[in-house]
Amino acid sequence: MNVKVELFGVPRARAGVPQVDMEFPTDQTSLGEVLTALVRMFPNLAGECILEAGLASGYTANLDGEAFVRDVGAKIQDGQSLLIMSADAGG
Amino acid sequence: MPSLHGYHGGYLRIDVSNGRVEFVQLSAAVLRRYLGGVGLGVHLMLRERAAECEALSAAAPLAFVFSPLVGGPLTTSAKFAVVHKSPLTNRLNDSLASSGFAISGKKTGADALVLRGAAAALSVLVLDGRQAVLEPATELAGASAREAEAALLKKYGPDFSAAVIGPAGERGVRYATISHSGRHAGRGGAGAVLGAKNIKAVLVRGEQRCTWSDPSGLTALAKELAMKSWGPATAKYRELGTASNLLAFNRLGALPTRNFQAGSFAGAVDLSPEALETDRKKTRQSCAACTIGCEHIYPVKAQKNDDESNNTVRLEYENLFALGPLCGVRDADSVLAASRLCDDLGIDTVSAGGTIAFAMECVERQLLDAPWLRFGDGSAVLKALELIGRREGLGGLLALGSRRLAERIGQDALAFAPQVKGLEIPGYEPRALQTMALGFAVGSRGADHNRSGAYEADFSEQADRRALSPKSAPLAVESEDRAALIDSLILCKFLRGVFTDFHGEIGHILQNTTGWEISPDELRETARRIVSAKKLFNQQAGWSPSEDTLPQRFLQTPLSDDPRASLSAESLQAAIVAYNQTRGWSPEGWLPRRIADEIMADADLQD
Ligand code: SF4
Repeated sequence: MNVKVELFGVPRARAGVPQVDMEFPTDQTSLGEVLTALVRMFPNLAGECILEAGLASGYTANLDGEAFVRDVGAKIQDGQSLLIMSADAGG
Repeated sequence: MPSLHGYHGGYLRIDVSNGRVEFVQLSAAVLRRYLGGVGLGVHLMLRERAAECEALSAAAPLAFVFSPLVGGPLTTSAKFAVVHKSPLTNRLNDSLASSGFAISGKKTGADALVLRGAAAALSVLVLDGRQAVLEPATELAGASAREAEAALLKKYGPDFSAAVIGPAGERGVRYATISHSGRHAGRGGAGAVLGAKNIKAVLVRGEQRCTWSDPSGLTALAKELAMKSWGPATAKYRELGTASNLLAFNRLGALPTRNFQAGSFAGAVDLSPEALETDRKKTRQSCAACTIGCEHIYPVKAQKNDDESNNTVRLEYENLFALGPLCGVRDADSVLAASRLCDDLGIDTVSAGGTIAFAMECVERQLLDAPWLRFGDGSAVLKALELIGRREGLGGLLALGSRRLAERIGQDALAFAPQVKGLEIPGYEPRALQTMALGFAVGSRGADHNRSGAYEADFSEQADRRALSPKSAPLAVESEDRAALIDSLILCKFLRGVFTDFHGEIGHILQNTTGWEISPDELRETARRIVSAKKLFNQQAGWSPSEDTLPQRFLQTPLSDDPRASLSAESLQAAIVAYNQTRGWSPEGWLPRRIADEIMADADLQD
């Protein structure tokens, strides 16, 4: 299955790319698994944007521009887009 | 009076028609109940009976309010509030700015400066300690805020700090700002109020410092807070600035575009900080006493008559959205130049961009005869701003703000004027962020993202951002209450992510500063009191429940590029009733007599 990860703000700056297509050998994956795979691809995300337990407190994730998710067990289906951005939308 | 820590125990009431100064005492009880900044400012407005005054009359008071933390070691604490009745909304207005004026102003030996009256000719108010002198300022007439501040500091010396208005304030543009050191008390027209008093600038200097209850405890807390301020919670502000919202908002369909006709903008990438940085060398700055440094300064392409010292601009998300996507402009150089022009004229970028975008749509609909004012044309935005600054031709109408312009135009123009209570809506599309829509509708100063951070709920699992329900009301209340506390202490909101136990940590900071043992419950009650005091002011100024709403566009038309982003009048109304009930107000939003009497009893105290 394929998940498109779109990065915004600091996560984008740390990864150095705006988006990445990720392949998983299963029919369905979870937020936690995508985050773990992301850290493997972009070690700079670790410790600041992504912690072992999931997203760091200043960050949030969104599926397809619809629901916001933080629970590492949240299911992600084939073809979905996962957006990772700052949880602090202030300005 | 027993000795106070963190405060001087009173404010200066200054009559700028004759320079007379009176020190008015404030009791420890009042200071504890309203803290400082916005909270104390609202109290002062009630005490000075500002709601009864016409906003631009000589009698209308204008307060510069400091806080117990100003002058102390805490990061981001060098801030002041400007509080008055708004000439844009005729309701309470409070805006914040930073840096040396807060520190020097508090050293005059007062917790606030309240200006009343009007000078006979354009003047500068020079406050040296508690001594005031009015000096003629005719040579500064028409000078930009930046030029005027530089000239005044050269004349009076660098140990003074100056809060100044630009030409727009002098000419009564209803969304004129008060500027200090390139930062602005931006929203709601404080600059027009100062201009109506014929005061081009207020200069302050002093030597009176407050004591702290536990200086070493406060220093330790300050070190801890500074350490946390370098962490991940503020990385966004340090590295990219607030402009980094742009692409995320665009992706979520929450970026107001072409006068709120759409929620995403094809040119957003061109305006993103990532794109701006590729061919522009930016620098970073910070307010005094700040360890975050969120200010990202970009070079601006030279315009005619430019001087070398004026070729940069501080770029924020709000300038970018209002002068870019909202007006359909994708040319970054035009947006940067427009942003700098707003700084020079001394006008609020959100209200300026909102009013111009509204006028552009009126031109499209043939409600306004200005064929040159077209969406997407950056040079038209610059021309409109120049006209606003001079109040010339169409600029005279645009200087009134979108609500008054819509009322002049008539027909159905009010339905799509992008404002609440007269204040233009900031860069958060209400149909895509519906907890924020509730925050806008009930906001005491109108549509406002700084007094309500309800968008945070929309960016979380707590609320469905496109399906407002009464369940969101407590989230809106909580966010407004937190803002009321932060704005009264005063600390920078960009610090909010570093607190893990907000009320406990704030209580600890206040205890080390003032010596008061303040529990989290007392802080929650203080926040509620401050928000209720704002409502009381508005009630005295003529508020009615019908003004807690959004323009019809938002309640009748889904977003063109996201049909699921749809908000009905019924769901907004149900959430407003729930909000009012959560606050302990009547379902329509009236304050219970008991709360109003308690707040007025504070205002009527003879200290
Ligand atoms: S974070 Fe930014 S706005 Fe806040 S005090 Fe620091 S420089 Fe000023």
